[in-house]
Amino acid sequence: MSKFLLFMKLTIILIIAAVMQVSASSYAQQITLNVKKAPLEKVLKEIRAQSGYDFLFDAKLIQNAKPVDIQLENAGIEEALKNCLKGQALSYTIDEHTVVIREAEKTLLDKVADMVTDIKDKAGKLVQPSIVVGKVSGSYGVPLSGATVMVKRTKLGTNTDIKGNYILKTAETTDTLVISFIGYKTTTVPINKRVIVDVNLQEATSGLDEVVVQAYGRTTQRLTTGNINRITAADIAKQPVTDPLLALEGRAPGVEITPQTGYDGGPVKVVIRGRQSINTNINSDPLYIIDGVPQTVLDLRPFDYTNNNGHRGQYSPGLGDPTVSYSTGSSPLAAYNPSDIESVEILKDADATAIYGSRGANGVILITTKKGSPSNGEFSIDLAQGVRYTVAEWQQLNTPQYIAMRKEAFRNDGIIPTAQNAPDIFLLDNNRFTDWQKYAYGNTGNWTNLQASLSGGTAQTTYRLAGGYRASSDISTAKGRNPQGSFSSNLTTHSANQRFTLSFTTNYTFLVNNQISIASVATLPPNAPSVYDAQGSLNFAEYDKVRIVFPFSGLLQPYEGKTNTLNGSLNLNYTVFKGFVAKVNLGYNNAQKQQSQYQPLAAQDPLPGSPQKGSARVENARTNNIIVEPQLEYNAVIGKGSINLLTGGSYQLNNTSSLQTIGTGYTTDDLLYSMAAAPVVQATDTKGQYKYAGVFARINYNWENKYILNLNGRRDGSSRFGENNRFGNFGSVGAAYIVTEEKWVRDFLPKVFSTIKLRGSYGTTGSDGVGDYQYLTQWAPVSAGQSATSTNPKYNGVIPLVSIQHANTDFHWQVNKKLEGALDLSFLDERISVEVAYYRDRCNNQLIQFPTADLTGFSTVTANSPANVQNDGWEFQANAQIINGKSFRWSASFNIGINKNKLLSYPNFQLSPYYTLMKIGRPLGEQYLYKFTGVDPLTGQYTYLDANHDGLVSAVAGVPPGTGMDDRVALINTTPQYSGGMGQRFSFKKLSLSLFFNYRKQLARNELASTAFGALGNVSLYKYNNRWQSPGDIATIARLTTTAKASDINYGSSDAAYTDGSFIRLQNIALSYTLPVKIIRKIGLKALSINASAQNIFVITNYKGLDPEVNNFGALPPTRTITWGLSASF
Amino acid sequence: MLSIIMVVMCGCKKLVEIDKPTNTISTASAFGTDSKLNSVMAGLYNQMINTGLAFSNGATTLYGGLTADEFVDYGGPTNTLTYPLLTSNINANADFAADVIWSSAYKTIYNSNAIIENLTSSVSDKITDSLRASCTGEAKFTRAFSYFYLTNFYGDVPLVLTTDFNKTATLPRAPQAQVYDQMVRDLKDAQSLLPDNFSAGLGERIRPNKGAATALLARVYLYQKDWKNAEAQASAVIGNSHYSLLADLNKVFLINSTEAIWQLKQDVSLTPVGSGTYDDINFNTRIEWESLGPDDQAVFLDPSVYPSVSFFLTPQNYLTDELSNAFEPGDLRHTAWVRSTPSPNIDPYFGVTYNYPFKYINRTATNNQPALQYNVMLRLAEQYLIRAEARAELGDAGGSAADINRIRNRAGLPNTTASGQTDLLAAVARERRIELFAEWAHRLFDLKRTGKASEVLGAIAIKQPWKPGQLLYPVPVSEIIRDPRLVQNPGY
Repeated sequence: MSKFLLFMKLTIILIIAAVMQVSASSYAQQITLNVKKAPLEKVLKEIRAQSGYDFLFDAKLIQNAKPVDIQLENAGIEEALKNCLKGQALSYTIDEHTVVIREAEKTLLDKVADMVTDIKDKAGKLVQPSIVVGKVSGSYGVPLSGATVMVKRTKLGTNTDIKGNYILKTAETTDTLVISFIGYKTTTVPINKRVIVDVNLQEATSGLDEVVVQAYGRTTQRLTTGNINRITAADIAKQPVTDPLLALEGRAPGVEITPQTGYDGGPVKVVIRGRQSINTNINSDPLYIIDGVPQTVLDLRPFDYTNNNGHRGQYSPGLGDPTVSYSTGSSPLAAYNPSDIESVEILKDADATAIYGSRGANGVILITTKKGSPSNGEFSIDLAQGVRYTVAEWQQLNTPQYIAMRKEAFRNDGIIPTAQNAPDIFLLDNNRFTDWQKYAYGNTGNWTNLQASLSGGTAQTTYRLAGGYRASSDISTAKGRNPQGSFSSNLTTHSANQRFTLSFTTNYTFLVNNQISIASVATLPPNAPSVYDAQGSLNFAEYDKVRIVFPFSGLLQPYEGKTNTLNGSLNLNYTVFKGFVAKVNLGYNNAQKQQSQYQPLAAQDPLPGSPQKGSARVENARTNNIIVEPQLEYNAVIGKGSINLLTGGSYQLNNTSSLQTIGTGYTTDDLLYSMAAAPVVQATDTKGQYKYAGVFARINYNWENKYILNLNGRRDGSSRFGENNRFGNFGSVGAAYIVTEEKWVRDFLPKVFSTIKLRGSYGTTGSDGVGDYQYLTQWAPVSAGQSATSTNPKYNGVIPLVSIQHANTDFHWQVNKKLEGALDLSFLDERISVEVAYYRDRCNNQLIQFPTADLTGFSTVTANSPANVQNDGWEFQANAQIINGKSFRWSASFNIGINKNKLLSYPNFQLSPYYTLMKIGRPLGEQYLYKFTGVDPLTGQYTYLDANHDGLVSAVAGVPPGTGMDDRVALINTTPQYSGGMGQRFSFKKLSLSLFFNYRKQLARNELASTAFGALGNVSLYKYNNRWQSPGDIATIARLTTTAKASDINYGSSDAAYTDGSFIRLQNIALSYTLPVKIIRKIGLKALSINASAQNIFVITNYKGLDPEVNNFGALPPTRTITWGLSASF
Repeated sequence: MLSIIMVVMCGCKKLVEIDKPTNTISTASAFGTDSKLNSVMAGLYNQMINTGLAFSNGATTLYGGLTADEFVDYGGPTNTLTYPLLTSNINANADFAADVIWSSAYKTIYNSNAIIENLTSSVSDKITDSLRASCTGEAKFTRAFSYFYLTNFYGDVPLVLTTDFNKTATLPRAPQAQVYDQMVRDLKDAQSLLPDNFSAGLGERIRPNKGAATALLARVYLYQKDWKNAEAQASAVIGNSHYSLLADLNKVFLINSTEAIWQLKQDVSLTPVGSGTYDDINFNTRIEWESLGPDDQAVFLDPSVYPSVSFFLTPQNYLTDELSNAFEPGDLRHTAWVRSTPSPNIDPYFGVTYNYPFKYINRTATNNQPALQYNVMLRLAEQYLIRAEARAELGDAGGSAADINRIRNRAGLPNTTASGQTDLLAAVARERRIELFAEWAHRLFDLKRTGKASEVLGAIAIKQPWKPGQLLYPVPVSEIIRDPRLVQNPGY
């Protein structure tokens, strides 16, 4: 508790500091000076007058100063002072609103310089010293600690100290220095007989030297030995999406991102480099780390033992019980504001992920939020407004066509339609027509996004404060919108001596999500009765009369989810001595979700004889994460290379709990929203604790920027394993060889080549991705399961206690072995860069819910599967600045990922639960289906290949497909063969345009697979127009019938149900125009741009259906979002 | 900082130790005290009666009756899950309603095994010896009870006697004889472990006791054709003063029936069963025709009204004509245990009258009312008929006839005219069909064990083409997939 208070105090001080800094900055605006040879005193007075700052100095000191030449426009106080005091033996400090000017203390550097310049030989001549000193600084003049300064000739060098200073003792006056620092362009500077060589490095904003966030640190594409893909704020912010994950679709090769429902904030399936699990539905989520804090979202729902069926295996179950919402869960990042994200790094291979060892098996996604940068306080706002609407709907039959279809179906069956068997023909108004899809999904949704941020600071301290409001409505939102509010702040500060650095970041978001569910509107007859009756109530009566299940109850059964998330991280950094840094990262994450769903009486069929009751279901779930990661880092130049050593520990504590309350038996809707008013209340609580601790070390050695070796090791313990299996060791070796650093290669290679780099890695990563307490024997009171209408049962008044899972204390860490090799090339001064990577991941002890027969008592057991699954593939990406002119620029990017997946081996396969479902050596996603052989021209029925010529087309479970009586010989695999994206960016003067396409090559289930065809229910026009009608017809679709025969039903289990689902989608197009500065300045703005963006513009595909990514007939259709807005900064 | 890392390295073991779960307890704890053991026993019975359709709750009676010649499913072909049972057209590879029998019986077996195992290994001194014995006996009884239905529906079945999934995950099927031997062993153990009274159910007959074990053992011996032992065990039950036949047929299935040997008590707060039983839902109409006044009856039968009310007036399953016609005139059991509901004489109802079982009082979907009936698992009338059959087989014609007459007389019928062994056996079979109709698949099992199933059922029109293999249900294919050592029954 006391620790917590201390933490709180610190927070308050930091916030106050930030606020003060803000006011100072707003003071320090706009000093304009234009003087030549002016006395310093006079200039300072002028600055005082313009800035409002007070000055304190020794008048004598100022009088002795040199006269000043200065030209400034709208400069800040610091900039003005710096200019005034340039070359003077004076320094300044700013205290509140007072500037104090003192005599400058001689720095170490100056002293050394004085010393060496004074060396004279015996003849009294100045000796050319072999020593060079200097200071390396970066943007805003920030001294760079740990930069490498190397003599080009000898390859010997040193690192800068805390204040950016270096001393090189072995240089000759004619030598050239090579100065490099992560994130900055490597610069060469000839010494040119100087003793003091100060260097200001330029930040690399693109290309190989741009900073890339890696595990526990930063690196660059040039120096990394692992596979890291970076997606920056610019690409994310342009896309009007509600979930940051969706902004990543197609952006990195080998990363498949697929939304699982059409609902905003619904679960998103993320698969990095192929399916590893032999289980179809197991959670494949990568590890998400936001500002160093791993996001642990536990899956807490207990087993639903009543039907023997665990709920595990949902994709991204998110926070809370997924069954409460219609979207069946939520994306783990749904609540995060995409506007606060600075970059997303996707770590894929062993080298990049091994240091997260135990949890990196599915890849790691690092999210870094925006920080402030030194400036005079920039206030900027972004406003956007937009619309969303359904892109496509099924072409269905109208009423006359529908009636004709039904009559034909009866004729084909030889049945005379009557009011009894054809209520839709006889009891419904045949002149009525409703486009039900339009009714359900025809609304135009809207999009509003307001973001404001204030950032700035000095070289010493920077800050950023940002607030945002976003409201989106998808086409099925009950209350019209899903509002999200967010607030984030960051403060980074260095001590005066640069030894201590503190960075504190918080993000808070609040998201409300509304949903309603409308089922099967696509198949509703076009002449079905209206949704509401004359009294405005749901029209159950008329639907009952014609025995159609009323599909619109959902209109009055709202779901609401409210998510609060708070993410805070504090990084403390202390340089003990040159090159040796002690750090600690403290992270805190708190997420809460309240979900509620109501079933009012008004939404229930008032059947006589069975009185309906209302029910309410409310769940509160929370998760708390605390992480502490102390680290020690040492940087040094050893021999011809620099070494980076990192060691640290990680401790994580996660507590998750939820309470779900179900109130039933309400006899009036008036009190439905009060749990206390429920006649029967039933509660289910869950609670879980997860602890995790590890130690890790990394050794990185960089020899002349030519050979780079990277070793990672980690030992981890997790509370999710039984006592004897808690600890696991993981490690990796990565190496890179930058061929173009070899002189002989340079000499021999044509000039177009800028860089050739080979890199490779091998290592192990793991997973403890099972629920908590799975290794324990557990007995629990029986709860009612998830049915909203039952209560916790009792037997003769006694609360029953049952065993809820197979006890297995033997399962242990899953270990994945990952191998990667890659070639990175760049051409034409790095204007074109290309990366080709080959990888091979093997996983042979995956932790899964292993299927067991019901006769054992449970249908699954948590265990390590003996299946060895291999994913291997190629990834290719290229970036090019095609035209880099003064007014016109054109750049393009392209990526592709090709993955092959197979079941490599499986001991005792014939006794395994997978024996009849898959084959060794074949892809896991392969399905075995009937081979479709067309429509019989005589009978109009679908026919299939009788592969074994036994006169029957049959599927026999329990034998391997295609053997014995089984005729399933067609192989269909819907896993994408390859996927990727391509982007184009143009800018002409103030106008810029970007386009982003994503694409996939895949097979997809088509609409024809739905079997209803001729029975009560609408069908697609395509099917109707292509049906068989009379003997002799050569048709692609079977005859109409009122009851589906086996031949109709088998269609969905045949290869005909799958068609080419490949597509190229113009995912995003963004246009922006920046207004000329001259105009902007007049209205007091720094910058103003207007922009427009659209998401999901068009799809090029042969797919038969609404959208190749929405395979279900009648599912929520895909939408398009178009937004327009402006960005301004002051 | 270095020290922190050292602490992390040394203290790793401690760092990943977590609190115990708060909403579950360990096996050791569950078998730690009498009261928790009582909750575990409640878990065993709750699973049998309160978790929806199960072999022990509705499924055996319904599916066995459809497969035999007891019921017709009102929904006909539209009930794709149950229609194949009625028509002997089960496709093992399609969804099959009766799979629930397999999974619920094995769940009961798992729970029984867990109790037997853990009471054997539990060293807690907070469990009294008598409770330890009786609970072990109850679990052995429920295990035998589950195997009885499993083996009669599926033939050879895996004999699961432990909860260790490492041992059970790839079990093959065991021969039926071995399963019967296990039942006999378990029931004999249960007889010696269980008390004779109803103390476990606090006076109600809702936990199996020695009488229940004896009654089931009598049936098991009968099915094994061990007539002597069947006769002896049945006699032990009949001679037990706790059990007596009720003169009033309307009271046989009530909660306080002295004829009940063992009942399971449903939780009346649960839907959809509520204060009724699953048999009530399966067989009764939502609105009882006889409860309607004459005016209402006329309105309801109006051809324009009937389509929208037929749902409430018709039973989900009704009696076959064969069964309805098998009642002798004047049989009080028809009066007490059969109801009927008419339909208008229009297409497609054609004025058909539906007879349906009324052993189970109509309380459909009524929650939280006091229960009038529990689910009767074993009852005394069967014991008389077991003994009658055993005595006939043993040549005790007089004793056999006396037992048959005990049942006939109660139903208001005269003494049986049968005297020879063959006739007596036929008379017992006929009496079993009537007395035990719509109960526990007695009819199906009787036809099967006497070898008459194909002869009787194969002649029924709706079951054409007759497939004798369907007298054994298919092992659920999902089970064969997960345990490839299981072999499917022939004919599927």
